Amino acid sequence: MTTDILIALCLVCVLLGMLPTVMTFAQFLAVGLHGVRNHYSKCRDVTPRVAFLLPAWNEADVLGSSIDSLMGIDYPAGQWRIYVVDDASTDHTQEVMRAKVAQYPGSVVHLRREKGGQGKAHTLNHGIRQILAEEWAEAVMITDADVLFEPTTLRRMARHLADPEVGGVTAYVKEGSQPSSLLSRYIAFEYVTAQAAARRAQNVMGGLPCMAGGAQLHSRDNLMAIGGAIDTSTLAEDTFTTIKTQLAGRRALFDANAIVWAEEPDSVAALWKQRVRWGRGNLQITTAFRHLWFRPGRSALFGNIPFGLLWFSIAWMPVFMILGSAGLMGLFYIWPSWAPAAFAALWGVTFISYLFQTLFSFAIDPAAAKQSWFEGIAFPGLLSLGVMVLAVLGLDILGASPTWPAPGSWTWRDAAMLAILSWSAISTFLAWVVYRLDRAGCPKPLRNVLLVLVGYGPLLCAISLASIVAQLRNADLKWDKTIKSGKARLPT
Amino acid sequence: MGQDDQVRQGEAADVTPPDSAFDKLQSADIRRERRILWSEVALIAFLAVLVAGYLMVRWRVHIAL
Repeated sequence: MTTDILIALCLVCVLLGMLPTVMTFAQFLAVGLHGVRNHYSKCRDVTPRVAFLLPAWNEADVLGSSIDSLMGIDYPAGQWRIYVVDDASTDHTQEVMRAKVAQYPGSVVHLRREKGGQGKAHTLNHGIRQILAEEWAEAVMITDADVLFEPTTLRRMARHLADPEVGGVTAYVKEGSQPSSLLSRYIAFEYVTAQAAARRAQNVMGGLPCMAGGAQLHSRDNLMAIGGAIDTSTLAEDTFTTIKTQLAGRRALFDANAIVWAEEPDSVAALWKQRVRWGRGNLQITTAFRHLWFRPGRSALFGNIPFGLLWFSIAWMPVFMILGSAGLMGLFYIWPSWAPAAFAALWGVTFISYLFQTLFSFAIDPAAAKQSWFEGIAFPGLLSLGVMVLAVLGLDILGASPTWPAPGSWTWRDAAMLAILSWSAISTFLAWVVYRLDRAGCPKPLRNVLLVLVGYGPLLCAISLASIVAQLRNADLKWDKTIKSGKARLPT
Repeated sequence: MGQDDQVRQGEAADVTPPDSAFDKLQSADIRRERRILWSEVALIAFLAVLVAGYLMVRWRVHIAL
């Protein structure tokens, strides 16, 4: 009886281990429907007066080129202004801004906070207060100091505001570092899946959980409706604003054809810091809106069951992965003959999902695919790809005994079998090792080899686990700004 | 955007030629979305054939054993 319960528990763990894969696969299946279910039929050629809001703390290296790129966009003259909120910078941001204000009189406004360092949301609020106090702006574009806009991006985003039901629109943020690196190409591919694909699917589902902080266009009415300020209580102010927009009754949309370019971290350690902040922010959001999840009566979008499953399977992904590994190992111990079948099911589904997502991502953004096809293929890590191949071919090719070996009789095949069954957990741990090596100053070529072997996906999983641990430990919440060097370029 | 803008939008719709820059942008984007839809349909068909072939081979091996 006890054994039956344990077997059932192990099978439940294996099923839970499949949840993130199944949910992201299902989300990907909805992407194509954006071809017939989108907002373009309600778009009109409108060009509201837009205030670009750029929070800046020691961004002198990138600010000048960002402003120049913004002043070169294709939009009716006099219909946009740039407000830079200088968060008490200590570099030569002030001199850069003085020059830009003189170069573009009436179009560039420099707002300076003498006491800064409270985080992006506080800095944004300083600018929003100023913009809303004036009658001029009909819409506000919240962006970052390093973000570069393609000439037609604002037009593409603004056309959705012709529909009064729309409160906010976000763009497709692409990694634009030149020259690119292995890590930047991994991020570029990640953004195809996490933005170009996932957010199209979210449009189809009826709403977005997050408008990217790098390009959020809000109607003035929407900003007023959500209180005229950005929430300062979490590390994910963009997600909070997006959810509030939709709870206030307006739509939040993603326009995949409106593109902006940004510079992302070029070291695993910097990426880790940035993503732990994002991960913790999402966990704070989970808590802040706990009254909504899985309650369709309270919110048609955020309360619906598939949306809740998707949200939790991503936010708590490492927990599901570890449960999956534990389930497989438990089965191998209690009911060994069934472990290979459960393994084949879990990793077989992962393999199909991987094939579909990778090939489809190449079709969704061929330009990004051309640049980062290898990183797309190696996204889960070459070792994980090997595990997937084993799932397809069958574990019996290993030649390990289908029983838990007795103490003292372990062979390398048995050890390999156990490592393969628990690979999800092991790869998460190995990704953490890659991070520690990078932090310790490991040479880049070696780090890159390890990253390709272990995978970028497991790295994101490890970061997610670190966020959960930090949040559970109630570790210090501080705004760790990602350092930008001005490497991002618009494509020529 | 207030009432004045809505009036302006209405007027613009009357006078905008069908081949305006806005229309070109719209039709290019709609075409891209349709292309993605058909790519997905083709990919699903391809993977379905692949999975069906794999399952058939596995089944035959299973029967042979």
